This record gives sequence, structure tokens and C-alpha cells, in this order.
Amino acid sequence: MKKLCIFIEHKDGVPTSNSQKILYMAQMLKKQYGYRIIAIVMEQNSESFIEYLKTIEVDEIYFVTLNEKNKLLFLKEEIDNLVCFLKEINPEVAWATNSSCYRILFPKVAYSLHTGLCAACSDFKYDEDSGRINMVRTVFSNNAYAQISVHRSRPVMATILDEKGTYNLERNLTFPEIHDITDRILLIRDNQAIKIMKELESINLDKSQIVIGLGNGIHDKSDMDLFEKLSRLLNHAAIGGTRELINRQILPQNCQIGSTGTQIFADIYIGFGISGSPQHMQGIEHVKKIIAVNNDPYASIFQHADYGIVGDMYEVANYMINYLGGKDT
Amino acid sequence: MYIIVCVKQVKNYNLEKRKTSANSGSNDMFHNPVDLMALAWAMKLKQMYGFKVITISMGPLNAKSQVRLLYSYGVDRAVLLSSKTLAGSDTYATSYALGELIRNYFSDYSMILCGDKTLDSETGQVPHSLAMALGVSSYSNIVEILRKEDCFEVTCEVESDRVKMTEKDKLLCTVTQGPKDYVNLPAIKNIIDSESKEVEILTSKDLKVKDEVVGQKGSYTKVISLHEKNFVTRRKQQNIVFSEEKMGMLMKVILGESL
Ligand SMILES: Cc1cc2nc3c(=O)[nH]c(=O)nc-3n(C[C@H](O)[C@H](O)[C@H](O)COP(=O)(O)OP(=O)(O)OC[C@H]3O[C@@H](n4cnc5c(N)ncnc54)[C@H](O)[C@@H]3O)c2cc1C
Repeated sequence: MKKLCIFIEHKDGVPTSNSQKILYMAQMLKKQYGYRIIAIVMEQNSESFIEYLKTIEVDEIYFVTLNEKNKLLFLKEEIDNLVCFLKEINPEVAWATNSSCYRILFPKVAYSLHTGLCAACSDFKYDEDSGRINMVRTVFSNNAYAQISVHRSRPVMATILDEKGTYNLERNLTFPEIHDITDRILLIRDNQAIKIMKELESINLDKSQIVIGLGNGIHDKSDMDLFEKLSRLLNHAAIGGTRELINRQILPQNCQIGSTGTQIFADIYIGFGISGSPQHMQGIEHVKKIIAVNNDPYASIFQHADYGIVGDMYEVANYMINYLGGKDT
Repeated sequence: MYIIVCVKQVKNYNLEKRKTSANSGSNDMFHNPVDLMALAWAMKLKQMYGFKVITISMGPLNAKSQVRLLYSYGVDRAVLLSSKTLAGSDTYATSYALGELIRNYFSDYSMILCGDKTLDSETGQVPHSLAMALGVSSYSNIVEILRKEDCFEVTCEVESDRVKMTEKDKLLCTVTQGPKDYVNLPAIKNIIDSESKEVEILTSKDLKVKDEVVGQKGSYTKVISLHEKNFVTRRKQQNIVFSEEKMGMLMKVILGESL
């Protein structure tokens, strides 16, 4: 039987939306083409997640218990161990979430396995002729979908894009086998070498109800004060932006919204000084209400917004602040 | 003691659309911005500890004049790996070729620095695959690099933490930003000097590997079809032109329910 390995993650025992999507895709592959689903969980405190996985349709579960917050810092030898393990399993397909952990780990594993890796895929296609699984991803510069094949090696590796849908997962009929492979994969770490310094403030772009998006229309980093003020008045709306602002070092990397940043699912998105590139739009396509502010009436963001305001972003922001300030107190 | 920085020349596709094929030259290429931030880290380390800095680029020959400009930042050697046989490399084949180049010619490096991804593909895979190709550790999201005795002490951001690592061996670091306290601008003297400096060109022959293992042939992925993607056009109303009274109405509509 062909095997499919999926590397999935959880938050407090519940699969992340990205993992749900992978589980859903895996179950389709199983149902339609008879693949055996092997779930691999490498995290801390996964007990309740594994309990959950037992209840849905997967065939085997392997888990690695990480005891520290050093998921992104797998050591060389640990990666070699993981590679050995995968060689033994010998899957046809291996998918992982598009989290920062697997965006780093998967290129390493793929290189060691001498196989192809497709990044940030949104779907798969079964090729009837060859019996192969091809991956589908958007190619950004021409705003198109590409089908990518891993044509001469196994497994077909891919990271899967988070698209926060609702997925109805199949319940399990048989009890999956469960294996603890922690000792096989992890080395005893020299804790002296790794020091966790301080928790950074985490930004909840993907969980905020209101998101303020900033684009190249912003003149200067100091203007952030204005939009931070607006954010406070909008129930602490999260602030994100286009890649331009990451490049200009006005916003940190984790604030980037778009195909190569975060996807957001807010109720309201207010975009200031954003032209509406397809890469950016991909990040906000699931927003319920899009409001665009741009001084160029022909900006393409207006076509994809629910409300368009033609005007200077600073004037509009100041207006909103006054409006809300009156109401807020 | 030297540091290698991988700098990619990316194409400006917008420019390309506007141009006819007759006048396309290296002008439509530029350095991947975040690779220049990696270069800034290297130059800072050069200033602090006296490392030499070597840049490595892989791309078509007409990237040469761009690559030469790297000398104006104070780079000691600028290398361009260029061959027709390397065209069409996927991330695997690219990492392999860069790995062979480094293994054969620059194996005495102390550290490799890369931008975390390129503007034109954004997969961010090459640095980590390259680390595997060379068998070294890689760390991403670097926010500080210090030299302590014969170790590097690197601080990186891991999800919501800052983590400090000490590494005795060679290592590869990817960055998303430049060092806070160091600006990397071309100096006039270097700009003038750079004109007399030559880019070192190496070809796939110099890698001492068979043609089958590089470029398109050496790749493990290939694109087999493309089709267009469309976004939902949502707007039913006309745009409003900003004015106080129109905004007042709009604010109620927009925010009414949620505040
Ligand atoms: C492979 C790849 C991946 C990418 N991934 C992403 C991604 O994930 N996310 C992302 O955002 N981008 C991404 N990009 C970049 C993307 O193509 C665009 O370059 C970027 O989104 C444009 O940002 P912008 O709208 O802020 O800037 P611009 O296109 O420069 O637009 C600025 C807008 O502001 C308006 N403006 C200026 N001044 C004012 C003012 N005073 N008041 C009101 N409006 C004003 C202008 O009319 C203009 O429309 C990617 C690109 C590539 C090639």
C-alpha cells in the first residue's frame, strides 16, 4: 500500500487550521486512491492532540516529544535521524504544514532524501496516467496556478498553504498504531548552548477581528504612531502590511500579509495606501469586509474591496481617529 | 578567515514587460534586497573582527556588471557562477551547485550568510538545502552575531522567543533584516575601485561534476502546467471621494456592528 506521511501541528490539543487542511487532503488521498496515512507529530505537550488523532481517520501515529521551545533548532544529527526514519517508512508522499518550523525542516529533509520539494502548495492533483501525485501552487509573478511534478524521485514532498477553511474530517473506524520515536530522533541536548532569552510580543494577525493593513503610501516609520493610535481605538486592531513595508523595515517580517506572509481571516480589513497586488490580495481574500483607502482612484485594490475611499490615507486615518475618539470616551 | 554571502540577481519582471526583447540587458536585474542585508551583516563582522568577505552569485553572464557593483560595498572577492547548463535549476539543483562551488573553492569559510528568501520565487528553501549540502547547521531570523573566542554566538528569533546559540563549527545563517547599528552603503572610494576590479567567473565545468546533476537535468521538480487565477471582484458601490460627511456615513456602515 502506498504511504503518505503528514507532519502536523496543534495548539492546545486542537489541530491548527493548516493541519486540518492537511488531514483533509490526506483523507481524500486515502479514500480515493487507497493511501495509508501516517501522521507525525513533533511538539511539546501533544498528549491531548494524539488522543484527538486517535478518533479520526489516520492509520499510524508517530510522535516526538520536544521538551523545550526549540522546534526551529533541530540539530544536524537530529535531521539525519529523521531522514533515516523516513527512509524506513518509504512514503510516496510527504506533506507538512507551512509553519516556520517545516519551512526550514522540509528543505533540509528533501535535500538529504534527494527528492523534490514544492513550497506553499494549495492542492494536489492525481495524474491518472502515471499514478503520480502532482502538487498545485500559485506562481506569484504571473498570478497563475502551476502544477508541479516530482518526476524522478520519491517521496513527493510539499509544504501546504494554510487556507483556513472548515474541513469535515472522517471519524476513525479502526484504532491507529501509535509509536513514540522521541529517543530515535532527538539527541540529548547541551542546554548551555541554547539559551532562551525573552518572549517577544506575539502578533495575532490571523486571529484579530479588525486588521489595519499598511502599504507603500506610508511616508515614514514615525507615521506608525498615527496608525497605532487608530489601532487602539479599533479595539486594538492588529497592524500588518505589504511586503514593501517589510523591505523598508517599517514593519517586522511577521507582519507581512499575503501569499508569502500571513493569511488573515478578519471581519474587517482596512487597507491604507495599498495598491492591491495579487500577492497581497491572496492574504486578505477570506476577509469578510475589505475597506480600501487610496489616493489613486484607479488602484486595483478598489476592484477587490467592499468599500473604496479615494483620498489621502493620512487624512482618512485622522478622520477615523477623531470619529472614534469622540465615540470612544 | 572569511565569510561567504550568497547574493542573487533577480529580474525585474515589470521592467521586462515594458521593454521589447531588443533592449534587455543586465539593467533589468537587481540584487535581491534581503541578500544585501545579509551582506551588511558580513561587512559588520569584517569591521569588527577582520573577516574577509566573498560574495557568491549564480545566474546568467549578463548579471556580471551587477555583481561587479558588489565591490563598491567593500567586498573582497565577487564570484559569479554562470553556465547554460545551470539554467532551469530548481531549489535542489541550485543548492547542489552552490554547495559544490563552495566545497571545491571556498571550503575554508567561517560562516555563510544568506537572505531568507528571494523576491522572485520566495520559497526560502535554498539556504537550508545548501546547509544540508555542506553538512553544516543553519539558523534563521538572525538578530545578532558575535564572535566569542573561536565560536560564533548567534541570536535568532524563534517564533515568539529569542534564542542564543553558540556554534564552534562552520554555520549558515539566514537573515530577514540588516544589523540594527550598521548601515551598508557603497563608499565613493570603493565605487571608484570597483571599476578596476574583475568579477571571478566560474562555470559548471569548474564544479567538476557531470552535466546531468546540475540545472534542469539535476532538478527534482518540474512545472507541468499553468493556468490563471482570478480574485473575486467584490465591490458593488462606487468609490467615495474622501469628505467629512460621506465618511461619517461610511464609518457607521463599516464599523457599526463591530464596535
Ligand atoms: C514572489 C513574490 C511574493 C510576494 N509576496 C507578497 C506578500 O506576501 N505580501 C505583499 O504584500 N506583497 C508581496 N509581494 C510584493 C507585491 O508584488 C507588491 O510589490 C506589494 O504588495 C506592493 O505593496 P504596496 O501596495 O504597499 O505598494 P505599492 O504598489 O507601491 O502601492 C502603494 C499605493 O499607495 C498609494 N498611495 C501613495 N500615497 C498615498 C497616500 N498619501 N494616501 C493614500 N494612498 C497612497 C498609491 O496610490 C499606491 O496604490 C510579493 C512579490 C513577489 C514577486
